[in-house]
Amino acid sequence: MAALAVLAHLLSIVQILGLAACAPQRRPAGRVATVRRPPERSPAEQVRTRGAHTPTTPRSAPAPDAAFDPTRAAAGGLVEQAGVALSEGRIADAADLLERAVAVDPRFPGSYVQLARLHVEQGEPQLALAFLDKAEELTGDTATAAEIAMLRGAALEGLGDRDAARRAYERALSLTPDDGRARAGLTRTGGRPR
Amino acid sequence: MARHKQVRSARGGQFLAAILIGLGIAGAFGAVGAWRFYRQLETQVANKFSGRRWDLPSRIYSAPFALFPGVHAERSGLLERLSRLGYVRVDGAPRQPGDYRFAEGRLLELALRKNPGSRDDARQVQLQLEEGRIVRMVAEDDGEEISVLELPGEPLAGIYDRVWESRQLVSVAEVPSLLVQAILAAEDRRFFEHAGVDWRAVLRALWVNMRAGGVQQGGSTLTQQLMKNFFLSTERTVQRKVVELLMAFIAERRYSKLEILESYLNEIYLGQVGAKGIFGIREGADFYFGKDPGNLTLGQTALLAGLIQAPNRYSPYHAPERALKRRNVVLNRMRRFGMITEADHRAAKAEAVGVRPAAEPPRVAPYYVDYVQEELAATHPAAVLTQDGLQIHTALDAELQRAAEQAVQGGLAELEQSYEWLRPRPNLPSLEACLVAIHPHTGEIKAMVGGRSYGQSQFNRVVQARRQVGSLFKPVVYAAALIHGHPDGSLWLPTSRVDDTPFEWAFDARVWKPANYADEYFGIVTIREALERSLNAATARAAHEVGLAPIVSTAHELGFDDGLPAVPAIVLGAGEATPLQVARVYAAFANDGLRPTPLATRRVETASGQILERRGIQLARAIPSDVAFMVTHMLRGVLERGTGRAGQLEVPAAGKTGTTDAYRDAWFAGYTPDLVTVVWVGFDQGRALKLPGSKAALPIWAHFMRMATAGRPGTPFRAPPGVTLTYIDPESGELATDQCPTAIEEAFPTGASPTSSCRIHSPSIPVTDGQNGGREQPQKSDGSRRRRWLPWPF
Repeated sequence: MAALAVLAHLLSIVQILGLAACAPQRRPAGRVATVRRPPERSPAEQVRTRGAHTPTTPRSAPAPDAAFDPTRAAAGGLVEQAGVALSEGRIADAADLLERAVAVDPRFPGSYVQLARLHVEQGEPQLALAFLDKAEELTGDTATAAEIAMLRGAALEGLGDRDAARRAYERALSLTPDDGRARAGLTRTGGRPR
Repeated sequence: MARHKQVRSARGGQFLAAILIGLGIAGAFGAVGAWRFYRQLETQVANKFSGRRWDLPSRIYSAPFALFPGVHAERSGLLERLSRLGYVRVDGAPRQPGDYRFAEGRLLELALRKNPGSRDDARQVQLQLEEGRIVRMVAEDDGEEISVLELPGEPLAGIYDRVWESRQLVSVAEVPSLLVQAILAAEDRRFFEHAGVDWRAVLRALWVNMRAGGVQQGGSTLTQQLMKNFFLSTERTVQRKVVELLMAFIAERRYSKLEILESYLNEIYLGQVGAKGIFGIREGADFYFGKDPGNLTLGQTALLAGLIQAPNRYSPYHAPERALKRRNVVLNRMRRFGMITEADHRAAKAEAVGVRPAAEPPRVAPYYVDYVQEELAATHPAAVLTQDGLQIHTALDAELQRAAEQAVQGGLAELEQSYEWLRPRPNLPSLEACLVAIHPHTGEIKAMVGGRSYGQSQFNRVVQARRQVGSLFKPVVYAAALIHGHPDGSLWLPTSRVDDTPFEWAFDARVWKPANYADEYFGIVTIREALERSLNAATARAAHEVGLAPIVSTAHELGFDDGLPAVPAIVLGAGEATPLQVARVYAAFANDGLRPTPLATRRVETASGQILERRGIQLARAIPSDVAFMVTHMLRGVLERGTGRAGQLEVPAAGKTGTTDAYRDAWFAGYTPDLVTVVWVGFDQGRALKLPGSKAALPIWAHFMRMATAGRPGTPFRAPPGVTLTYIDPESGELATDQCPTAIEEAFPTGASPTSSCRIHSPSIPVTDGQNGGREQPQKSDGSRRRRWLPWPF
């Protein structure tokens, strides 16, 4: 059990650093000195940063925008620092940094996903669900959507709602069929992985 | 005769013996008393050294400030923030932590100070600017780009019992030896040689004072000064001096020189700013120079040591020349005693005084600080708050707070100048206003002004004044309509029509008759128009159709408390709420329907940085995100065309005016995607203001929001999934064509947007009765027509 907890913790750190990398990267002014090149953003991410809407264009339609978004990069920097704080066992500092990332760029889904993860791990599933709602409205890429569904499953499981949790795990598996955690969650909640 | 002599001699001997015995007894009693007194003093000293030596007031800090490309260096108040944090502007390249150089608006070079409690090292960064805006941030040591940089929170206030002794403890190992030597040179050169009392210094002082015919010089050692500060009054009596000597002797017997020195370095008084006393060498270095003791120059070290004798007399703020002379006296002594070289001595004497800009009055954001203290009182005993030196980090944005205070003060002054009946009158309370600003995505309270003057009234209207909210409630009615739909299951849309003519609502055997502003009615209108123009009759009709129960339930979900009465009048804002509650409701509109819990206190730490309490973001689903967006989209129209058009900003914003019965309360609640601000104006006793929200509260809101949004990257309102934005003709409510004179962007639930093109303005499509939406000319309630319908938007 303890080994599982450690594994989950390590996974969170890896994922936080991974999600921070979704933002255009420059070095945050903390202890982290790593520099990464800004990755190409998914079309859905690009739509998110456009903000304004073209008349009669539904939100899901992609629009090109390759411009560097410094606000997003700043939030990404804070999320990255949160990953470092978490790796050093500074949970409260990590939560603070993630919340500051929300304040800097409230439209960056990565901050909400990581806050949700922290709350699931801290045994506060109800709080996690609100962050997942927010992240879900902001994200467009499949990988993040799958992660959100996975975490939603865990939060709902924590609340004792097995049926809803099962549906969330099913959704996570429909988006990323190889996700072992979603598969295990589905099994735990009485579903049958296909 | 001889016998007589013998008798006399015997009596004399007895008398002498009696005196001697008496003296002996008295001496014994005296010795016992002296011994007991000595023991008592010894216990006193021991208790002080072994127990809590100082009550450390808790300190309250504002939120950290994030710097990143896109932030405007000047308009965001960056330079003022740096100054308040103790940074000093220099002409050359910044060398010392705490220096910065601002080069012609193109480059800001910053030698960062190590943040208290931070593990990061102090470092130097370059901020490259274009037209005042940060475009790039680079670390000077390795040239790497930085994505985000945080300045720490600014001290706002202290929580203390009766006397505010501001003090940061320091260990003797952290104090540079040069500073210790400077203090010894100034105060007690033979500190490491004497046993608590320097008799040579005492005799010298006696001689000087006798010659002068008054007290000119003291011969007190550091130990004596410490004992005096710990236990004794400042009165100059022999009795007090004896006790001081005894205590110094005791302290030196029981404790090492370094222990005594450390206590002294933390105890000494170094000045005053308002109610706050500056105590201890670390606090002094921070207060005067914005530095840690280890970073002081020799000149600063000597100045600080020189202050000990008479901090206010030698204050570099009040008497810079005297401070300079005193500094040079200390430097001369250091040179004379061989503590510094001649070259150092010369260089230090050439230094300018170089203190940081005079500190702000210590009580910043007093209503906010009170609110934080009330929050903390529930979880921390008063003694802990006043003695344990807790560090309390809040969500307050110091720059926004200043803008808020300025907006409220300026707004009230303008109202009093413009409207004669609002001017202060003898024996009548003055006009009041309050403002609260919160971040809708986190719930952080960024600014709070509870009234026009904290000195006159500590009543915090933001959280303590429950007032009727008036038309601020209308968005709740329309949110409920959009959620619950018509009884037949069809949807309410922003283009749905409602009749704006006089209306009666029968309820509990009574009849409620809502009237429009100026008794003017507009016939058939869309709910967007009803909201933009704040039409009472149309809103009441819509509410009647939706039903009270869904409206009350939506109001509770959004954050109005359970006290709302389920009577028709609540749909026009007869219910009461505090400005903070209203801010929470509007934050849910701005935050995709998620209601945040307002946060003032964010984190409580011990003096050493250990976290005692953390208050994180809490969000709860209040209304669906598509409904929140549609309401926001309609409320944008209030600022673009409606009752709030005088408050337009340069960035996207939405809002609503509010006015209550008999013009007792004037409100404006409005928001950008990242900041919700609520302003209330009125009289505490409910006297009529005789002005609507658009005239009294809106100017204050607009003034504040213009300052708050300047210098920060603007963001658009973002449609959530399930919403489609479509350009429509406002008259027909159908898709706008090239022939339509006006077109507005409207938000619809996906799948519910209009599919046919405007038939009113398209010549190929015949217009039939009712296709113009059944519009009628506006008319008075008595049926007389008042004015022509103006093409909308007007």
